[in-house]
Amino acid sequence: VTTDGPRRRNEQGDRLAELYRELKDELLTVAAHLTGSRASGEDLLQDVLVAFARRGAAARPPEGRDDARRYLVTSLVHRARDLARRRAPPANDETAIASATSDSADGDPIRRSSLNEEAGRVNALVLALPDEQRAVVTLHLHAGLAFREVADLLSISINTATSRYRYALLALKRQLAPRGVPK
Amino acid sequence: VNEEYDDVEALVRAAKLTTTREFDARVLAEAGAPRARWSHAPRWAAGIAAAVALAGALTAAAAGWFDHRPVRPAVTSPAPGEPPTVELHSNRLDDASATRVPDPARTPIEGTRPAVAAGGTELEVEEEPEPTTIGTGIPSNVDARATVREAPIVARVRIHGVVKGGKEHHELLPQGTIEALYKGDAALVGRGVTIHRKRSDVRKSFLSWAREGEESLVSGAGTIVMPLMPTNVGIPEQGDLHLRIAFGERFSGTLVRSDLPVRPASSIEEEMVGMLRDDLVASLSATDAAVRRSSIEALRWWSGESFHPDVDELWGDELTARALLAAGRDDDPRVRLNAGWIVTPAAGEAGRELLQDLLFDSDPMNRQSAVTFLRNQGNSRFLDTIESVRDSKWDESLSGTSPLSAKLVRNHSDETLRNLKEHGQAAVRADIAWALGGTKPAPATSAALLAALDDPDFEVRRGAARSLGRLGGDGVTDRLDGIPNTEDPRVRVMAAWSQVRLGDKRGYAHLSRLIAGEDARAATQACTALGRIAKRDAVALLLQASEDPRPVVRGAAVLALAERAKKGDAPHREAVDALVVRLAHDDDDYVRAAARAAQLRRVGRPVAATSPEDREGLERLGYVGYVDDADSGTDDSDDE
Repeated sequence: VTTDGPRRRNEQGDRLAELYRELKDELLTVAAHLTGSRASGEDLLQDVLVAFARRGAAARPPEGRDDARRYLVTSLVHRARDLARRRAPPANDETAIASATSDSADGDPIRRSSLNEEAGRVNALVLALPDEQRAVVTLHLHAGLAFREVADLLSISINTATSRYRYALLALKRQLAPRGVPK
Repeated sequence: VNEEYDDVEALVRAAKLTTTREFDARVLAEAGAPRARWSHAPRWAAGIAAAVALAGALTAAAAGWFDHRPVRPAVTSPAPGEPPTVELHSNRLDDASATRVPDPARTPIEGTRPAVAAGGTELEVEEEPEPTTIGTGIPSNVDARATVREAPIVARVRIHGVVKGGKEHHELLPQGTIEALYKGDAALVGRGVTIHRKRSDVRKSFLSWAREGEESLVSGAGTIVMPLMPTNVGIPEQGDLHLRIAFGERFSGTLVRSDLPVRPASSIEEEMVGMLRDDLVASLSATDAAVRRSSIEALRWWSGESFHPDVDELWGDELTARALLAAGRDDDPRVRLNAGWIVTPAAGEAGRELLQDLLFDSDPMNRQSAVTFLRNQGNSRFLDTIESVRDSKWDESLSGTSPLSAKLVRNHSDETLRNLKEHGQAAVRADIAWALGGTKPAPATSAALLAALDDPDFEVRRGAARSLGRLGGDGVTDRLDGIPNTEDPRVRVMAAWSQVRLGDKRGYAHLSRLIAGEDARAATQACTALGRIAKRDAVALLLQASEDPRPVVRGAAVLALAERAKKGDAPHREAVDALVVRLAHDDDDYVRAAARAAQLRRVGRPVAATSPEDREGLERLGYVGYVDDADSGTDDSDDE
């Protein structure tokens, strides 16, 4: 039976909201890439955040933004793995990811539109990577984890992590080359 | 690497997704204000609803306990052999219900008494609702021997029912109560809620279940776990308790509409689970080892054997995690073992450490269980552990009741093969037969396994058939092909599967015969085996099986195809898609449910019948003989 007072709940709520605002895009990207679709990623992220909030009510949540981020990313990975064990990967909704990316709301509309087109395309390519490679890429590039951390989290060796990463980037580079990725 | 791909990295980094406003509102409402949650409500609705919820909580507090008793649905008396039809009549289905939000911190466990729960927390007690038997389709009496000292006792009950979908989308929350009688008096009573279905799963699956006017099977999800608390009626020290379902099955429903701030039933469900879990976790520090044992067993049921195991959920709560790790070092071996079973599937560092400890535990049963756990793991998460154990002092003598695990033993000795032939215990011979499949192929091994096909114990023969499929060898396929029709069907299924695995197409003919045979269980197992084979021949046979007159076989066929489709095989995916359309309108509930499960790629069979005692139900489904959903054993991580 929880004994939290309203003040503590309010403080936690505020803190969570602040944390959410800072990390939401990054976490959604990681979640979507881990699950292979935006819709599943949203579900996953929502579950993780709710569990995180509940944990905050039961015990001391991780201190500091980086610790919280690491905790949330770890939870995302664990839950995504759990989901994958239970059910088949959803159909890739590349278009959904691409169009959702275009919701981004800053900058000049024309430039934004062209940037978003590129971002949507890159996202679709990332999404088309094999699951294992995609996980390494998103954890390293979006979650900002070092390869050692990625390897620990995915229970693979660091050599495996780096080689999956290399294969993934090689594939992406090949796909992107016709559009003229800067050398 | 980084220099070479700097540009690509920059592009990927920049291609970040952004959340939508609706999503932000939903998450903040749900995570930021966990006591007043609602689904998919726009932000303004969330604000209004928070106010309404607060008012409701105050009203409820003033008026005493919120009566959250499950809604009594009207249940029409079903025809014999038919599951009951449930129509939802819920007082939560109108606007007024929005004000009736219970304070979860004060939500009582209905019908429990006395007031003291484990850990010394005082809970107030509601009057028990009048016992009314609603619904059929569950065994109303379960004889069980229980030792009351080992409270909280946890009972598991399967529920089953049919709900008629309406225009609205409902979420269903199966609930049940149970009481244990001792010498005619109610000695223990408890209530349970299902704890396995995540909110999003419920919502998604129900959307497809509850089409307008359509009756849908909602069973298969129905394991209820409930701790039974002692009542103040005579509590025996130890004795035979007679468990019975006190109130039958019930469903409560909550209307989920975006314009109504109605509290989803699932949130109550989660809170109730939290309470149960907290009680059990508190009991882990009890001085009485019996209490610790029963508590950890209950937690294990919850984490590992519920419909959707969610170990990560346990780890999300630091207090629980800490209590479980402490339980892993408990003086009592059963407590240590169960803690290990809960923690190890998480495969984190703590999980691996506990597993290592168990492999070297002072109790032989614990060591054996750790071996069994490793054996059953179908993936590579524990490869590091296996490798380190292989290189350590662990050997066969350290295992408990049986000597080997396929994954722990790199090389076996002549004595192992002798034990396969001569050991007095059939279980040991079976374990060896099974384990040898994981060793390096050698003529002597295959020869020993071929000889084991004549073992008097069917499990040994089955294990040998399976291992031969992995090792191959001279004359293996011919020998497997020659297994007589009088052999146990489970062995025949395994042998046929091994034949196919070794490239011998005669195996398909055997599987086809098993499907066409009288034994429905053999037919379903053959379907499951075919689901593990990534070949068009297998698809063709499964499509044939999908037209079998027995519903249980049709269901198994579509589920087997879904299993394969889950692994990404295009021919299976196409077949499933076509089949789902056809079987979604099948005459039989079970087949329709299986088709939907296949459609959702939720592999795992719906409950085939209400209970093993329900002979009529079983016969209707086409089961002949026995019902045993034992694993077909053909689930290899490295199959074709």
